[in-house]
Amino acid sequence: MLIAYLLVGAALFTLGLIGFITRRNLIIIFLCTEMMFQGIILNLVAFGRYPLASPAAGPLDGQVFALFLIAVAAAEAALGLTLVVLLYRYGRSLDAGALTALRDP
Amino acid sequence: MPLAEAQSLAILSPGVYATLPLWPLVGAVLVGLMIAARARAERAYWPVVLGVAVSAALGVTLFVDLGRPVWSAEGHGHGGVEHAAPAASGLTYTLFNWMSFGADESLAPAANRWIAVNFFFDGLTGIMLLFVTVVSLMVVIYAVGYMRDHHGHPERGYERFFAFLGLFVFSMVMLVLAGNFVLLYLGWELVGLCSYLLIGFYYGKPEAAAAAKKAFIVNRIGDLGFALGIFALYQFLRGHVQPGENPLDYAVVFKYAPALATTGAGLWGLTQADIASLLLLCGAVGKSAQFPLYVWLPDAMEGPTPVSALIHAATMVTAGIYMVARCTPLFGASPVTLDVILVLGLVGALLTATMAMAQYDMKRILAYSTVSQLAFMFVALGCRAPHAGVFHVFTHAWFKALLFLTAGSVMHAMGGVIDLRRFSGLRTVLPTTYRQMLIGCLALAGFPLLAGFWSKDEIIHAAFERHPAVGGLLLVTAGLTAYYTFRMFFLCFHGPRRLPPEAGAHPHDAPPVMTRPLWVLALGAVFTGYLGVQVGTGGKFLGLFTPHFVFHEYLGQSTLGAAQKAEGGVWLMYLSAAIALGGIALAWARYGRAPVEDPDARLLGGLWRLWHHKYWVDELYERVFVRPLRGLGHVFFGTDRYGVDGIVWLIAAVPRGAAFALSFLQRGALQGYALGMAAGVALLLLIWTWLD
Repeated sequence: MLIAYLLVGAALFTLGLIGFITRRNLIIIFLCTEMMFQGIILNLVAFGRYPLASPAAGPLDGQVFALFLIAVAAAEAALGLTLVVLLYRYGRSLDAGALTALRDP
Repeated sequence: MPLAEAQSLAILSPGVYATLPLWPLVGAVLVGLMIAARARAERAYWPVVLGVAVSAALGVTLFVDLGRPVWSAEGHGHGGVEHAAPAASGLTYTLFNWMSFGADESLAPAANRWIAVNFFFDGLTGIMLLFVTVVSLMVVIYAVGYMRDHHGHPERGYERFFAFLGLFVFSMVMLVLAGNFVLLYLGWELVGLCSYLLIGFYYGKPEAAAAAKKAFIVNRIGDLGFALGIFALYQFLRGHVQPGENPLDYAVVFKYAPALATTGAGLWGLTQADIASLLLLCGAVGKSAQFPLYVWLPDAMEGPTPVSALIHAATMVTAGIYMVARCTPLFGASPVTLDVILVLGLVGALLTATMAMAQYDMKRILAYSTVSQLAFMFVALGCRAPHAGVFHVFTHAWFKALLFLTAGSVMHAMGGVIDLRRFSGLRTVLPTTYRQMLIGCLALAGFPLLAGFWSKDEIIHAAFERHPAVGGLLLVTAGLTAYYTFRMFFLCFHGPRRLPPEAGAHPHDAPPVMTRPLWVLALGAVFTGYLGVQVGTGGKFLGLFTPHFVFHEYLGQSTLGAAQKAEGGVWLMYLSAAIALGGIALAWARYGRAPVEDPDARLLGGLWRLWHHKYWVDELYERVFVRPLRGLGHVFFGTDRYGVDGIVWLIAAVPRGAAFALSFLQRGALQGYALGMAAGVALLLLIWTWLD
C-alpha cells in the first residue's frame, strides 16, 4: 500500500513544481511551494506508517517529522507572505518575471 | 692552540686585546642610537672618537707587547737581524665556536671541526693594527673639523658619517685580527660595505652614487674569486685535517700548505696550492685595486676626503696586500701565482703612474698614485719579498693619509674646488698645509731619508734580485712617481697666486682640529721608515744607514717567516735616490712656475691625451663588459616580465574567462533558476537509474 501514498505524494510535488515554474503571480507561486510541502509531508507520514528498514526507528518518527514540517511551513508562510506584500509595495506588481534586479551583467 | 712561549702576550691578556674591534662598533652604535633619538648632531663625533682612541691605545700596546722578543734582542747592539727570529707562529685566541662543519657524534665537541670566532696574533697583526688604528684615529679627528662648512656648522649627515667611520674601523680591525678565512671574509665584506656607504655618502650626487655602485660591484667580482678560493681550500684540506683542527684556521691551512703544493688539481697541470692561491688572489686584486680591477678606486674619490684618506689610501686597500702577505706559506708554495702577482703588479704600477701624469684633479692624482704604490707592494709580494711589501704598506699608510688629508684641507679652503687648473700659488695662502703636503709629497716621491724612500728602495732591491728588467721598470715608475707628485705640488702651491671664486674672500688654513692630526701623520711620514733601517756609523747608505732593522725582525715572527736579507748593491740606493731627486728637479723645471698651459700636454701630444683619458680603459670596460652585461640583464628582465609573468597571467586567465562566460546565465529570473534546478535534479535521477 506504500506505493499508492508515494504516488499521490509525488503527484502533489510535481504539480507544485510545475506550477512554481510556469505561473507568474507571486502568490500562486507561493501556494505551489505549499503544495510541494504537502507532497513531502504525505511521503513522511507514509514512511512512518510502513517503515522500510531500521528497527531503531520509533513508530512515531514519521508523524513527528510531519508535524515539524507543518510548523516550518506555517512559519515560512508568514515570512513569505510578508515578503510578497513588501515586493508588491516596491514594484506595484506581483509578476515574478519583472523582478530581475539581481542579475549579473 | 698552543703558542710559542716567546710569543705569549704579557702586558695585557689576549682577552683584553680581543676587545679591540668592539670599541669603534660601540661608538658607531651609540651614534646610531643618537640618530634614532634625534639628538643634537653637533657633538655626535664623541662616541666614535673615543671608541677609535681606545682601539688605537690597545693597538699600540699590542704592537709593543708582540715585539718584546725583538726589543730585548735589540739591546745586543749591531745586527739584530742575526738573532734567530722566533719560530714563525702566532697565537690563536678562540672566543667561541661559531659554526660546525657537521658534528661527528663519536668525538668530543672540542675535537670536531668548527668555524670559530678566533683572533690571530703575530708580528703582522701587530704592525697592521698599529697603523690601522692610529691612522684611523687621526682621520676621525680630522673629520670632526672637515665635515663642517665655513661657519663651523656640521654638514648634513654629520652624525651618519661618524657612525659609518666607526663601523669601518670595526670592520677593518676584524679583518686584520681574524684567525680564520671565514672571519677574514666577513671583515672583507664589511669593509666593502662600509666603503660603499661612505663613497656614496653624498648620495644625492649622481656621480657619488655611481661611484659607490662601481666600487661595490667591482669588488664583488674579486670577492667571488675570494669566496671560491675559501671553498677550494676547504675542499682540498678536508682530507688532511686531524680531529680537533678547524680546516679554515690560518694555523691549520699553513700547516698543510706544503701538502697542497705537491698535490695536482687535475687542471692544466696546476697544483691545489696554485688553484687556491689564484682564487684568493682575485679577492686581493679587487680589494687592493690592482690591474685589471683598479677602476673603482679613482672614482671612489667622490666620497668625502677623510674617506679617501682612510679607506682608499691607508687601510682598506691594504687588505689585499695584507691577505697575500698573511698567506705567504700558501702563496709561497705556488710559483705560478707569484708570477701572476708580479706581472699584475708591474703592469698596474706603470699603467696607473702614467695615468697620474696627466690628471688635473688632485685627489685623482693621489688615487692613481695609490694604485701605483699598491702595485709596488704587489711586485714585492711577487718577488718573494713580502717583508718589503708590508714595510711599504706600513710607511705608505702614513704619508698617503697625510697627502689625502692635506688635499682635503686645500679643497676645504678652496670651497670644494680641487681642479689644479683653477688655482695656484697657495703657498702664502695656506702655509701650514703647504708644509704638511711638502712632507707627504717628499715621502711619496722617495726623497732620501724619508719613510717612502726606505720602503720603496727595499722593493726595488727585491725586484732587481728577481730580474733586472723588473727592477728597471720599477725604477722608471719611481721616477714617474716623483715627477707627477711634484707636478701636482707645484701646480697647487707655487707660481702666481690665483684663487677660484668659490674660495671666498679670505681663504685660510684649517682649524687646529684638522691640522694637529696631520702633524702626527707627518711625523709618521718622516720617521716610520727608521723602524726598518738601522742608523749607525759604518752603515751602507751614506755611511750611516743599513737596511733591515727591527721591523723585519718583528715581521719575522709571523706567518711571513724570517726576512731574507737583500744583499743588493748599495749603488742601487744611490740610483733610486738620484732618480727621485731627478724627478723632483724635472718637475720643478717644468711646473715650478705653475704655468696655466700644461707644458707636458704640448710636448707629448697624443701620448698625453692617451694618459689623460686613462688609456680609455673605462670606455673599453663600458663597451666590452658593462653594456653586454646590461643587455643580458635586459634579456633576463624581459624573460621574467613577459615569460614567467605571462605564464602566471595565462593560468589566471582560464578561470577568469570561464567565470565571465558563465556569468551570462545569471539573469535574475527566479523561475529560470528553478527550472534549471528541477532539470538538474531530473537529470541526476536519470543518470542514477541508468547507472543502476
